[in-house]
Amino acid sequence: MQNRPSGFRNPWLQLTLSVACVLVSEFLLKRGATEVANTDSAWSWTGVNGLASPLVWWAILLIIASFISWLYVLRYIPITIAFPLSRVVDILVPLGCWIFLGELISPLRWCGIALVVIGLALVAKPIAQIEERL
Amino acid sequence: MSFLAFFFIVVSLVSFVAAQLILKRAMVATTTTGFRDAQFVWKVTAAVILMTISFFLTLGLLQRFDLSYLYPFQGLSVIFITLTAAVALKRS
Repeated sequence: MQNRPSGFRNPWLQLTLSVACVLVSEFLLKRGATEVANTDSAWSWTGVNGLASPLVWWAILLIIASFISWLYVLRYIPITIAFPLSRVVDILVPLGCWIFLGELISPLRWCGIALVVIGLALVAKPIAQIEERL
Repeated sequence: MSFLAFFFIVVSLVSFVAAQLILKRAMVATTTTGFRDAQFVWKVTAAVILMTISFFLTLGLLQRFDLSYLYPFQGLSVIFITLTAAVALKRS
């Protein structure tokens, strides 16, 4: 983590941006998919009709941006730190769905989300340590 | 959740996990064979196709289900990658 650039090139800022891009892209994908939803058509299972929504294209751009940002982060921050921190999206996405998309999340679903987050917390560090050794 | 929805969730998850493992294999092989190897190109192409399938299936599923319902399944992919990588890539 030596010789870290400052300002917009600060790796911690880039990590935050990467997480923010993932978060916003998920909401845009959901909004875009809902916008063009045609559940009567069997073809809609393929999701290709989602491309008709501009929101989906914005989401794709954000996914690419988050990927580039993530690659930059890996250059400066050890993956043992960056990867577990990046998994904060697993908590922020359901919270955002509840706050911004107005989704009703039942206690059972919260329990399921908590189980996945616990599982991720358990594997995040070993994964990062494996990748660090490569 | 219908059987069809469950099927597409599983296919989306499996294709994403498979893509990650294939990409990893492809990138590891470049240390000896380089980037111009036919096997490398084939593996990266296969991984990109699998990731595209996963993306569009997720988009199809998002038309029917809440994001808060589907997103934890994407989180599961990280756990599955760890488990399958341990087997497929013979890692401990």
